[in-house]
Parts: sequence; C-alpha cells; structure tokens
Amino acid sequence: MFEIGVDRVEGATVLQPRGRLTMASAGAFRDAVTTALHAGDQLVVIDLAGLAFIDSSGLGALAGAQRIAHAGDVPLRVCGASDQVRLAMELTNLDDLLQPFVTVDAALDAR
Amino acid sequence: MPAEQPVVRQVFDAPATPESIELVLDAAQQWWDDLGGDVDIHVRHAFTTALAEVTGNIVAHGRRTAGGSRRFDLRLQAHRDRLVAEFTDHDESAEVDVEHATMPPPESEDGRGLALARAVLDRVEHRYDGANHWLLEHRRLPIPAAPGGGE
Repeated sequence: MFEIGVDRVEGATVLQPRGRLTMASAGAFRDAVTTALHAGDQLVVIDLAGLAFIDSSGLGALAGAQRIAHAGDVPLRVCGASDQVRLAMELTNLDDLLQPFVTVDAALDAR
Repeated sequence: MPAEQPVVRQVFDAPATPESIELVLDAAQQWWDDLGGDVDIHVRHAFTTALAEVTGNIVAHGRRTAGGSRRFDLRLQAHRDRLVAEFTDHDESAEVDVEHATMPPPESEDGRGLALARAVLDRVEHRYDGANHWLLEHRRLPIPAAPGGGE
C-alpha cells in the first residue's frame, strides 16, 4: 500500500512516501510533489526512507519533480534512500541529478 | 545424488495492469522467503527491480494494443547457481529491442525501464512465437561471510 506523509519543518515541506513507488503509485506521488512545490515553501524535501522499492516509473516521477522544482525556482532535495532505491538511482544516474542526502536533517541544514 | 529441484513460485494469469506490479513484487518477496534468506541481498534487489521493469513493459504494451485486456503468467525458479524468471503473454508481439535498450539522460521522465533491467541482470531476452516470452536470469552469488567469524 502506497501513501505519502507530509510534514512541515522550519518553513520546508517534507514529503514521506511510504511503500512501493511504481507505475501504480507514480501518479499520486507526482501530484503530491507538484502540490508541495506550488505551496510557496522555501524548500521541499522528499524523504525516501519509507520507500521499500522504486521502479523506473518512480524514478521518472523524481526526475519530473526536479524539473518542476527547477522551473519554479524551489529547491528540491531527496534523502534517506534504501539500498534498492539507491541502486536504481545509481544505475540510471539519477543520483547525479538529485544529489541525494543521507538524512532529512542534512537536507534541511544544507540550505 | 538426486537431481537438483529448483525452488519455484508462480503467478498465474495476472491482468496486465499497473496493480499487477504489486502482485509480482509480493510473489518475489514470498519467493525470497521460500529460499530462507539464501540469496545475496544485492542480487535480490537487482532481480526484483528487473521483475518490476518487465512487468511494467508488459503493462505498457497492453495499454497500446488490446485496450488493457492482456494477461500474463510468471514463473520464478531458483536453481543452485542461478535465478530465472519467465514471463509469457499471448497477445501481439511486444516488438521490443532489448539488446539495444540504452539508458536515457537522468532528467528523462520515461524510457529507462528496459535499460535498467539489462543493467541489473546477467541475461534478459524477449522472443515472440505467437506469444511473448521474456527470460530473466541472474547468477546466484554466494552470501558473503560475516566478518571476524570464529574464536
């Protein structure tokens, strides 16, 4: 079961997708990220620690999120990737694009 | 010595819908549990990733052809030295060129599924003979020994 938690920390929105981010859930994830990026916060962080699995649709949604963030001049940071998520990001070079942090605190502190 | 019996798990007649990716991933998890943790975690991640990508390809192709009415079978076999997955569906040819699937730029929002499957597997093949057949294969690597073992 896929779900997305939302937290607000120090003027930043922290999204917490949980479960598996696949073709079935990528649309809901994309919608949640778009909403967060248009909410007027100084920073959006996607905490991937609760993601058990990601496929290429999920990776595409992350790439799309980065595009929207860049277009809106809103910093977007990802963090907390598990082993499988990190593997998928490295093989597709999304780690170069997204420059993931290890923890939420590190992502928040970097601004 | 008796012939090796592979550990088999099968998913029968699943609909080619995005929700079936969950079905396949659940079957893979049950399969890893059946094997009692005797598959290196990195191999498990790689193979599971490829299963999702091929399922996604079957689903995407189904959307383009039969209006989403396609169905597929999946058979997972764990041999002593390798892991094997076979997908079969009885629809039009998927017409995929697995051998030449390349990874798009990281900013791309689609088109990386087959390239990702190729990247994580030792072997991935597609053929059509009136049915689409996908073969996925990965060496079953030994579990690394725990550091500092023994007195």
